[in-house]
Amino acid sequence: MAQVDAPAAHDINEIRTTFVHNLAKGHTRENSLKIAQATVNYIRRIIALEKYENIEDLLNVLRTHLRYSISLAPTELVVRNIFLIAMKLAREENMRVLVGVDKEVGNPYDSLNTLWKAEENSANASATGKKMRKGLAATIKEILVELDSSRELIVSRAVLQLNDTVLTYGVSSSPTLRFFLESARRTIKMRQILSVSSQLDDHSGPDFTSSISLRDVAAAMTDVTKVLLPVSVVFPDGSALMPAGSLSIAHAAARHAVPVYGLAAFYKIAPYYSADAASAVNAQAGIGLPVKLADSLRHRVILSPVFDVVPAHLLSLYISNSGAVLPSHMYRLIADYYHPEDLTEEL
Amino acid sequence: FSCKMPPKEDAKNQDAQRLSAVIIAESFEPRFHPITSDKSFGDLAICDVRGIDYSLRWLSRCDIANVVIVVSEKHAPAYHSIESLWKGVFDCVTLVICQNAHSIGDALREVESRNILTGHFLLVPSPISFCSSTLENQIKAFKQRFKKDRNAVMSLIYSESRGDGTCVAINENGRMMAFHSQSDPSQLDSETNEFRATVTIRNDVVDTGIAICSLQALAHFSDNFDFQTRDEVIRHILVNEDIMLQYVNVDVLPSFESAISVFDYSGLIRSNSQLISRLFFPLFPFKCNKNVLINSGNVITSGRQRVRIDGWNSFVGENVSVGTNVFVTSSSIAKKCTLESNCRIVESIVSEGSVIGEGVSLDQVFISNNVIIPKGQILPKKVVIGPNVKLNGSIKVKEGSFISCTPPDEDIEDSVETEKLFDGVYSWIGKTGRDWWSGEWIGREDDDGDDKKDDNKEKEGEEAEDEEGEYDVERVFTSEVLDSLRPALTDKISQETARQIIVEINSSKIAYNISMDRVAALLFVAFLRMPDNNVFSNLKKRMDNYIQILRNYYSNRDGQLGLLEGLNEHLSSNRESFSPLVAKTIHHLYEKDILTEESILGWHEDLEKNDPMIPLVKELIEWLEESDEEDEDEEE
Repeated sequence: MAQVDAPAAHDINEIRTTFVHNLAKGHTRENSLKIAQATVNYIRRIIALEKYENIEDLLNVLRTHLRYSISLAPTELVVRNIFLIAMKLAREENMRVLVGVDKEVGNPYDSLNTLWKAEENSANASATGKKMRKGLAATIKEILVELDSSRELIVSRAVLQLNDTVLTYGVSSSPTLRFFLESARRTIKMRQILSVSSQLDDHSGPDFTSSISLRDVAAAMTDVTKVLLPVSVVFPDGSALMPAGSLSIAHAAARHAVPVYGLAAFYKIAPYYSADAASAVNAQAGIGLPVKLADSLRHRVILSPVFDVVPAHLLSLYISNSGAVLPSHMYRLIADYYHPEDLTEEL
Repeated sequence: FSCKMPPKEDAKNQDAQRLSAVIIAESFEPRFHPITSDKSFGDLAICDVRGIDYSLRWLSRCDIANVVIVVSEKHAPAYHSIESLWKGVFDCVTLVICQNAHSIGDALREVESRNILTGHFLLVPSPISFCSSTLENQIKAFKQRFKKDRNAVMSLIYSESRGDGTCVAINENGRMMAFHSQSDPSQLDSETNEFRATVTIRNDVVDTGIAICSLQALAHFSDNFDFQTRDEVIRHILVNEDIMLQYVNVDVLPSFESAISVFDYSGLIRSNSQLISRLFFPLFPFKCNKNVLINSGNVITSGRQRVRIDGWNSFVGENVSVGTNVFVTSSSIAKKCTLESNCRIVESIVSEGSVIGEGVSLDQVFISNNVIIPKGQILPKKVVIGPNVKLNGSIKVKEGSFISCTPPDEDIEDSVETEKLFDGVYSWIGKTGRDWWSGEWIGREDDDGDDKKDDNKEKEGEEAEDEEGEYDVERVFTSEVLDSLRPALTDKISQETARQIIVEINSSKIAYNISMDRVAALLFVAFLRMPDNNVFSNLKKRMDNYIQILRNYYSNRDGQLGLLEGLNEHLSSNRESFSPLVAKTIHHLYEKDILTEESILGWHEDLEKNDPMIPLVKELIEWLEESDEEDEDEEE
């Protein structure tokens, strides 16, 4: 736990409030990549400025900061993911300092037998804060590099075929999806890109797309060969949170056996499934009604869904920065980014 | 009066400069004093979060660089932590600690005296004020208007309302033509009921209290110590439109945006329910290190507890114990409260640590900290219960009353009727139609009555004085100007003193409503009246000493004609002593480039043939005409 009167603590508190308030700053929400980058930078400051003697201290410090951030900005699920990724890296750094760089560090998802043996090597020891600080700063920086390259890597997988008719949704709010389409367009001229516009998202897509309304999707689906959707959060079971309206598109696609692709960078993969994720997140948005009307309805509950939960069986493939992943394989990626012990505590 | 404007470089910067925000953290509303007691109004919790935190969070979303929080001395310690909490979010958070502020006017005068503000600012008149919009467009529009016309000094933010609106007349450019009346906000405060066809009169909007102001608007407060509220300044600007040329704009927020400033209990209840129903999202009762759960029916719970409540759009704080069959709608229950079985709570606020007994029904009730409402107590609508009140269950409470542990203190004693219910419980109710719950608590009603009488007297007086009145006003004005000129000074006056003198003359000008050309004439009359001016050497020296002031007022032709007119007036009352000096004075002023040849000749032409001035200036005029001709000859 950070000491309040320590000279560094004063600074870090300021960084913390600034970070949290910047999340809600401005009129429109920043895209998730920007938020992820801001979170990594914030964690770097924590690692540089906070005081910790061993791995337990460090994890507690990170947990405290995480709890503070998500209590004030619970809608930003990306923040939590990045923090948990950082915590896993901290654990690995601890092991590396203890065991040495050359030796293989035990994977917590290994078989029980392997884990049992690995545990004996590093019984109860832990690295000092000083040693960790240096190494960890470097590894955390790697997340930043990975973040920076994630969009390019996703975009580089944009290979579509000549006769494809692509249907997309929410292009204006997802820069990754837009770059993806532009890149696909550069490699090959597709027949048509249909951009679905809803009332919430009434900016038309890029010039090369033709805009259709949500209610025409079912009719247009007969011509469509691929559906591309932006993803907000991917759950381990392969289901995903997507902009409201995506569920009906996915259903229409399933009806016509059109494959549905979701664009999801690694930081969007949530470590655990939350049964009421949609209702929890949906409840936390503005209601988007004229004030007069809303005021006269103040004894009613106004639902204004922002996200749909699209179940795994409606999705064909996730395009991630590390490759294309089947929804049913999503749970394997969790081991790459998260440590099981960080996930046990309810945050 | 160009001298009052800030230097021109500043004006250019103002366009790019980000706004500051001034939050008045105190409520000068006497009705709130009993419930806030030792805290400031900004500390009042809405859904367990300090009210001022919502305002600051809203401002953090706007393009605001600096925040100035005005707080009274006794509440200042709590605000140092607020300052440190928020200083990372804004470029700068400044606390202005007032010692004796009794109104928003006093608070703003304190801000002005500190010289903190360098450009336009957003006036947040109540610490519980917020908006779903970032006001981006409104701020941009204000800057553009101000760039074009520096008299657009203020822009008021209005929002659409549900019927109980205030009346306002706006022309096609958004300029306010008439403000609402103070006594009845649904009426216009205007003597005329006739407007041009392009003027719209709206009563479907409500004044949020939030305003974008330029420094000129702030200057009104420091110019006149009588101004207590923002509305008084607005009325002042509207009434004196012809003289000051300044005007106020009205910006009505688009229908999807909402804004509120809390000035009364009904506003408090409304802000509470609107926050809960997410009208101001992302402003929401999020709290540090506490999880907020949104359950079905938009019932917000804090912490890890699970509470079973019927109803919707409600907030339930931590450690609240809830009985069975409890119904809560559009209300907030603060932490550590107890709701016994079968309670029914609608559109109410229950503050920390209070107990609501079995079967009690609350509708539009505000309950302060640590109150006990026992089983069987009936409370009508619009009741406010003060801190630590313990009722005993059989008391009849009147609608619109305030229940307190103490009798009213001196400040408010005269405006409420007090009834002792039993030991240590008093019921206060506003006298003569004053409403404790909502609307304006015109705590100075008695004063107002006097004012009105005074107004009537003045009006009667004005009619009688109509002919002589003007002269009288000018006489008083002249003597004030004479005072301002500091006749005792014998040295050349400094830049600083000159500036002060100009400011003083300008404020007298506004106070007595004197037109610019009359100021020019009367100023020179006053100037000539200064002692020992009957000897030319003295007068000449004075003219040299006051050259800066003369230059300020007599730079154009109209001003110079005014000067000469003043000279004429002075002559008519001091014929003997002044006659020999007239020509020399004009000549000297000509030499010093205060008067131009053109204006002297023009003035001379307009004189009547038998004017006693003509023989006095005959030689001078001839000389001027000659030199004029010579000039022309030379040119040829």
